[in-house]
Amino acid sequence: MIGSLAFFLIKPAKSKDIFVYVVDSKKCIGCGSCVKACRAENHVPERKYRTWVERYVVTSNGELENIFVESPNGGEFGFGDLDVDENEILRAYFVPKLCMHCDKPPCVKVCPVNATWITEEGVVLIDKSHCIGCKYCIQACPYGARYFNHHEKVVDKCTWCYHRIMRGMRPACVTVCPTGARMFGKLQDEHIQKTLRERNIRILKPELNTRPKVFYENVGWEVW
Amino acid sequence: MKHVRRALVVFINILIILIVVIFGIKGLGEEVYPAIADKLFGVEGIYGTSGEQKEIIKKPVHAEGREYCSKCHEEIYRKSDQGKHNFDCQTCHGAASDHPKMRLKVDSSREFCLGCHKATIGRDNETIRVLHNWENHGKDRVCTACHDPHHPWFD
Repeated sequence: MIGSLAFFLIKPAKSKDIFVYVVDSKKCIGCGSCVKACRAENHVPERKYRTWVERYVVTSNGELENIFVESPNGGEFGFGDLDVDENEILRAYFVPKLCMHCDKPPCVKVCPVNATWITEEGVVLIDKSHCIGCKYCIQACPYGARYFNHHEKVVDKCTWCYHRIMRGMRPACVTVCPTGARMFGKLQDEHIQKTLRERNIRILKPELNTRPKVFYENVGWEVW
Repeated sequence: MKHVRRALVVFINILIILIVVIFGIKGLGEEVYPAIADKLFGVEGIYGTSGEQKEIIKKPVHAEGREYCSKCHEEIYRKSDQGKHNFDCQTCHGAASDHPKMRLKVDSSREFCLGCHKATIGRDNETIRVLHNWENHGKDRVCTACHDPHHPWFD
């Protein structure tokens, strides 16, 4: 009884200005400048990605839909041609992926040494000096956002460029996006509120109840 | 009968206490770190949450915004601001980490421009002006021979 009472009385102190990230899939052209900028900003090792771009191509030749997903080199050097008939394509679009910075992060839950935690701004961070590199969190993450840094022997992930956003700047990927497909801001910001009121906004894997803070606009059901 | 009832009451009491304890501990939270229990007992910081958070903030910024470039290259900044190429300078020029010391290189080949402007499956015509006959349009010439990269379309 006391425990339950304590839970209702002392709720976790959440700061009101949590950060959210909105991706408009329609505006993404798959140029890969975000992946390059992320690599330059955060010294991401080769063949590892904190953010990457996927291409979804849904085709149909009179039958039910076939879904083809690809991400060559994380989309860093753009996308090539495909061997599909143009008339068979139902819909095709690019989907930038990154850490969802879940409100209930499974990766934080499984860490045996509490080396990863969620900050007041809602950003999930890793203490590199405390991580033992057991990679449990890589397995726990349903979005595949974490990778193992072989140089530092620790797990690493997107931090939404925590050092930038705390200085009032935007993350590197948002800064360089030429078409404005990536949007970043506090939940109360006007441009974020405007997009969050749209109807076709969705999150990825809602059935897992991880409550991600990355929202997607104009993506089909097949994005997973 | 009385003994059985008494034993039953005791048993149910123990059960209630157990359930309350289980839910109480769950309520205090092991879901995420730092949880309420950690905050109550002041564990925050032992594993370096407060310390490491400050360390991460101190990391140097490698890619500053457009306004940083405009301090020196104001003419180009104003020119690009009027056209469609009004996005960030680093999208093409790369991160300006120690730029005044090191020269920034920009790829002026056809392939670099076509990286965005080539007609590709999935690329939306309304978002970007895609070039459908990219093989023949301005053949064997670089794009910058005719188009100004900072203000590429003719009025």
